[in-house]
Amino acid sequence: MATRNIPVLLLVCLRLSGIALLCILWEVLPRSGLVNPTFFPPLSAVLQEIAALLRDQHLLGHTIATLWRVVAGIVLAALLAVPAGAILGYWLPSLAAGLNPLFRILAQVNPFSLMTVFLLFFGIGEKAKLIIVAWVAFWPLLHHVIGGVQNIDADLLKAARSMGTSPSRLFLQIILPGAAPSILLGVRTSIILLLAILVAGEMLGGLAGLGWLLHWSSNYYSSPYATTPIFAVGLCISLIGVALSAVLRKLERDLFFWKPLESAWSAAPAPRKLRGRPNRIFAVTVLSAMLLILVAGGASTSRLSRTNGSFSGEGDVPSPSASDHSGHMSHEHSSPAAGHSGHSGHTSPSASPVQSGHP
Amino acid sequence: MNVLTKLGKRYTVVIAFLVLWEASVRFEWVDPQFIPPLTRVLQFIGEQAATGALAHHLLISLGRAAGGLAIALIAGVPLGIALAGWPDKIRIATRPVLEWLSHINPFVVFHIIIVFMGAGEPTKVSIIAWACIWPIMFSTLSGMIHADADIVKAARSFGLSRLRLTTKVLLPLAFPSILTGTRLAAGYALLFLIAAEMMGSSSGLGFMIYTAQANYQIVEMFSGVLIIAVLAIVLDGIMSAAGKWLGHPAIK
Repeated sequence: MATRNIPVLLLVCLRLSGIALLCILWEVLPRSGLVNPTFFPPLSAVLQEIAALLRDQHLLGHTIATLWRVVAGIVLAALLAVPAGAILGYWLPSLAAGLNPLFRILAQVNPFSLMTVFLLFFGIGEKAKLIIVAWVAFWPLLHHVIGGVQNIDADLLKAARSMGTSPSRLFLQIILPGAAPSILLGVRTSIILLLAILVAGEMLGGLAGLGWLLHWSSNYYSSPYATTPIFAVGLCISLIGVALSAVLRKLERDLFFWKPLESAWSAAPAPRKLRGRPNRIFAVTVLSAMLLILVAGGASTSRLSRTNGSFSGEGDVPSPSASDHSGHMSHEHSSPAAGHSGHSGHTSPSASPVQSGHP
Repeated sequence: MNVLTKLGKRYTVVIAFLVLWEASVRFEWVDPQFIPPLTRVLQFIGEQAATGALAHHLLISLGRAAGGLAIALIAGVPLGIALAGWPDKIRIATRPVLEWLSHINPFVVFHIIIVFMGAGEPTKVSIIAWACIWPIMFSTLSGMIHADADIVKAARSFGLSRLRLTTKVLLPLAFPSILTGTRLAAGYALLFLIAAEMMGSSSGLGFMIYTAQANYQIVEMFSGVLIIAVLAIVLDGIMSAAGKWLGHPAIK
């Protein structure tokens, strides 16, 4: 299991070689007919479809909508979980221990089954989806905050208290920085689940977002590759997940330079040399991007929802491909018994907090 | 009696929460039109159990979840072992691709599979298997790679073959990690089971909840939510107990 140090350039080449091989296979297999191109379109067709979606179907707007919901949900969950976790973990440890069984049970409540409850309460507007994402993010965050707070070096806390530090300064300057690595770890480990939950929420009830676009695409087949739109949107969703995970990992490395690196992929012990002073440029950039998404994304999402809400029926949906002159659409209903799932995306949004998407 | 006392003490807060639920609805602190009292939900569950409808949905759902999880275990553990056994360079080359694959949303997979498999059972089981395979594979890989180097060296010095080294030394050492991954995967199985049933099914707990919501049958909806929550807790408990029971002597 001994691992040699590999030069950075070779490392990059190796990683790119895996990706390149995948792309080549994705293009060649459908072209050669070894894989049925009707079910598995070549990569070039998928990329062309992405370009078409960008041009005709507000793909960028939907992407921003999904990102907005993810960021807003995580921020909301963090605003609740960090203070609660700090209070429970440091000032009320016995209460934290007592409430732990309840927290574990609430964390186990299936977010998909809760989604039906939230959709009923808040309708198919933004509230339900934000609350779903926040709910899913809240429990791992709370768990990691409590754990992080309780693992802070006791000497630091004693020193601060002996100098008469006020509770608010204690929180801001010792507890929060001490728990920060755990907080980021909590977000990173739950990001895959967050995206899955959000996409499902957008599919079940919504008018904007990649999940909505995916669901809509699956009900509309374009020539010559029936599944191309699904692959196109799916590729976008998966790349967002990869990008978010990469951003979070880099944030961890930059902000928490004193912590040893962990990896499931390499048995090599982390280099013992101390990494340099933290580089905050990337963190500031990420924070700016988050603010931009929160402010501009919200407006963009609202506008997109209104645009999609104006459809009087699927017959009015413009063709994503200019070459498709027939305008004919086939309706693949995946759930014949549950008749609502195929049409929920076309219900007009409502300001009423209790109105359901299925009147 | 001792066990019951322990459980009662441990879950006092949970019981208090349930009592609070009942009280808040009875005293109308919460609108009973949107949240039914706990006793009404429990009564409904009892009725469903009596008619056999509950068992019907439950068995179908559990069958799907178990099928998906089993497939993920059968495929994920060997893949993790294979990844750990490959040279470093190959592992580095495959890493970006595998990480990308693990981010492919099960619902995207759902829409792709449904085109050529239809909305039948294989589609739902496939989605669950897809969601479960990644935590299992990665935890197996992690466990194998991070096995205690001293033990591995000692085993090699005795001249163990590659196969025996893997089965007798590395797998037992990786077992706790594999178990953690499996436990996480079991949670995912239940999670995506409900989602799959909501989107393309005419039976199962997810379908039951979805149709109840669509028809404003609040009591039925909450009974489904409650059943699924209890199911998740029981499943997690079983996985935890299995882990303790199966713990390898060398690791205790």
